[in-house]
Amino acid sequence: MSDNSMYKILLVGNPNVGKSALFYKLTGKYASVSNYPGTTVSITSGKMSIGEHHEVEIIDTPGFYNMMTITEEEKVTKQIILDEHPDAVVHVVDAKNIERMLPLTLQLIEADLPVILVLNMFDELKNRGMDIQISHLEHDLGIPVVETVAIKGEGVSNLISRITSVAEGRYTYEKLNVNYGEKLEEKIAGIQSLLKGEYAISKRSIALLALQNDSDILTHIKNEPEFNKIKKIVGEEDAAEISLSISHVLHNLASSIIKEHIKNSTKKQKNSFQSFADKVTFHPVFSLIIVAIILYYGFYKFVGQFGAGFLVDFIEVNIFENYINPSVNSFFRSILGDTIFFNLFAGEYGIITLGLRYAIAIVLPVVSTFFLLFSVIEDSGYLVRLSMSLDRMFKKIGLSGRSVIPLILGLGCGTMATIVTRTLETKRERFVVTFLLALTIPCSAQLGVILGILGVSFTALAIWFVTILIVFIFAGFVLNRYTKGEPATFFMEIPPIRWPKIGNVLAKTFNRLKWYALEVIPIFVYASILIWVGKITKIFELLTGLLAYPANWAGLPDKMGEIFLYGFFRRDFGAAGMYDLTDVMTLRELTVATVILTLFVPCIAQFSVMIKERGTKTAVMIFLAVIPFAFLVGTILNQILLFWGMA
Amino acid sequence: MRMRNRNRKGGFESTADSGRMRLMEATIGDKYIVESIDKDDPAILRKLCSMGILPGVEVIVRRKKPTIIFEVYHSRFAVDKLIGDKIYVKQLHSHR
Repeated sequence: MSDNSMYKILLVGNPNVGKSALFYKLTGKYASVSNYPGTTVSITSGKMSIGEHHEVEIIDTPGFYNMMTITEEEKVTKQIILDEHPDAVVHVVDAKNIERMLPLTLQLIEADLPVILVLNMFDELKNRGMDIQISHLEHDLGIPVVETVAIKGEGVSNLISRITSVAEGRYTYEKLNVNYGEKLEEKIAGIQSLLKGEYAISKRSIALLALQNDSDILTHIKNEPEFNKIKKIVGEEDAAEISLSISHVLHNLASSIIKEHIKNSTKKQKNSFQSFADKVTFHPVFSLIIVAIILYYGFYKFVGQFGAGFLVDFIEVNIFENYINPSVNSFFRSILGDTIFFNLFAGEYGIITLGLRYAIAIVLPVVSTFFLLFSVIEDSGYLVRLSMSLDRMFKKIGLSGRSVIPLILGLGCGTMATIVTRTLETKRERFVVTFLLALTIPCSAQLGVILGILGVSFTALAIWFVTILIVFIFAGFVLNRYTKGEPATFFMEIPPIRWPKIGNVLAKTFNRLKWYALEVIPIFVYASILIWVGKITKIFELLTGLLAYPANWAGLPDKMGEIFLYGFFRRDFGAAGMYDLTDVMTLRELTVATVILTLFVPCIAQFSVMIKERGTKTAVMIFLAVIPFAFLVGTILNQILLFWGMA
Repeated sequence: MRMRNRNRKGGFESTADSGRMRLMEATIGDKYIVESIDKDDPAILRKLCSMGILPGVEVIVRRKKPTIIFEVYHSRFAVDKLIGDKIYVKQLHSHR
């Protein structure tokens, strides 16, 4: 290894063991820490310096349970292990659950990786009256073992020195051997001897994974000269049977090691808040009451009335209309005069007067309040319970309760939510959720504006809500019926309900907002430029003119064509544009228009993420299906409302 | 090894070592051990293996509605009926 290369350290482990908190303590960077699986949607990496000479790159990976991977995020982690040659692999476990998590440590040891085992949340273990003899455990496993309490920073400096010694190759591993029994060992040896290439993990590990028919590993070794012979050995065996035996051996070994070094206590202390919270949140009726409370106080009162009402009014009227816009207009008029360039920055469609105004005055307050609310709900561990309670209902449209998480996040930002669909297990579920996000789920800015516009009439709001709900259920049924693949299954670890920690909630909200601001503000600026270009070249006029036709079919004025076009540049952008129309449209028109806008195509950002996550073909297919459908629903709704006599 | 206990799909035949039941039929709050796991769905089997839910492990069922909630080691899991029905348990009893 050359001198100037940076050491690469990988953090791996189950979700919910404090990996991200540890990452923060090591790097000072914030990877979103939370109480539900699936927040580390992409790889976060940060740097840490040791002394004056060394820099270390720490890579935080998504949840990882087993070398035999199931979800896409697990595959990502495995791919890093296979491709990146990490200098140390830090396996973080929940100390009190060590027995259940140790098999992964054993797998990592077998893979010949430079493993360090971190027993995190050691205080929780002690609170249960248990203890682990670290030095003995270290001896038995032949790897460094460190106890930490990451959120308090305890044990972190010890971990850093261990990481350094491992990365520098100063630690001598004494490899622990696992015996899988004569029959299986024979097969392993058979495959091992056929492997000729060089790999990041041991050949024994590769053989074990191949025998379990792990598709990633089989792809990884497909260039082996004797690949066909390997496949033949693999094909002779019942992979499921082998998986079970292997897990069994690993777990028995883990239990026998742990039983020797753990002190259990009969002292059992129950946290009365937690058991009460469990009773309430697991209860079918009370959990619905909690949902109603969150919807009313959280969404309607806090996000709707406070964020989209009070804050938007304040920033929009007091700051922009009174101060910024007039001064920006006069400034650019004085230097640019009445030219087309004046309109690029100021005037009706200017970058500052339209683009930044929408971003800062209308979208930002709504998104901030939503993310704050979401972080509180997330940090408390309530999201997992919600997934659980809704699982049965979701099964009817072929989804599992797990998909509740991206769908709710979609109420904040559909782009972010589309990325989060990675935590879903099947391709089918990921597709259906992506589709529903694109079609039915309004993002928070849209939602805020809709609540603001329709807030004057409860009936209008109810019509909007029921229509979207019907479309959601209908689309769910149709997608479930015509999408290939097995129905989803539901399996989730349930974290305890905790009081949300203010620091955590604020950091998480800030982190999401930062992502959003970096994502949204440039797009608002580009959109302003595009509109400017479109206006000059008359393309804009042509497109709004085209979109005015379907708008007319749904009984809406021509001007709505323009709003729908904005809607593509950014969904919330379109919704924000509707604010300017509230005075000239009737309640019926507003209702129909908000319904179409909610259903109408996802914004540019979401669309590009859809392409990235689901492929161009699928993304375009969804896009093209959504446009006519949105107008069809709008037209039907308009007819119903007219028939009903709504003005 | 317990592997010998091959159960056919939906196999509910009461064998000599009876007391075997699906997770769904366990009494809430009692201690059981996992007796076997259906192998007909490799994805589910793999998932259960990764979580350490294997024959021989102690389980306590906490709820059955709206989803099955059970404790293994020091963790709680929620599973739907489809997965729950792959897990067979038997009561921990003292007589031999």
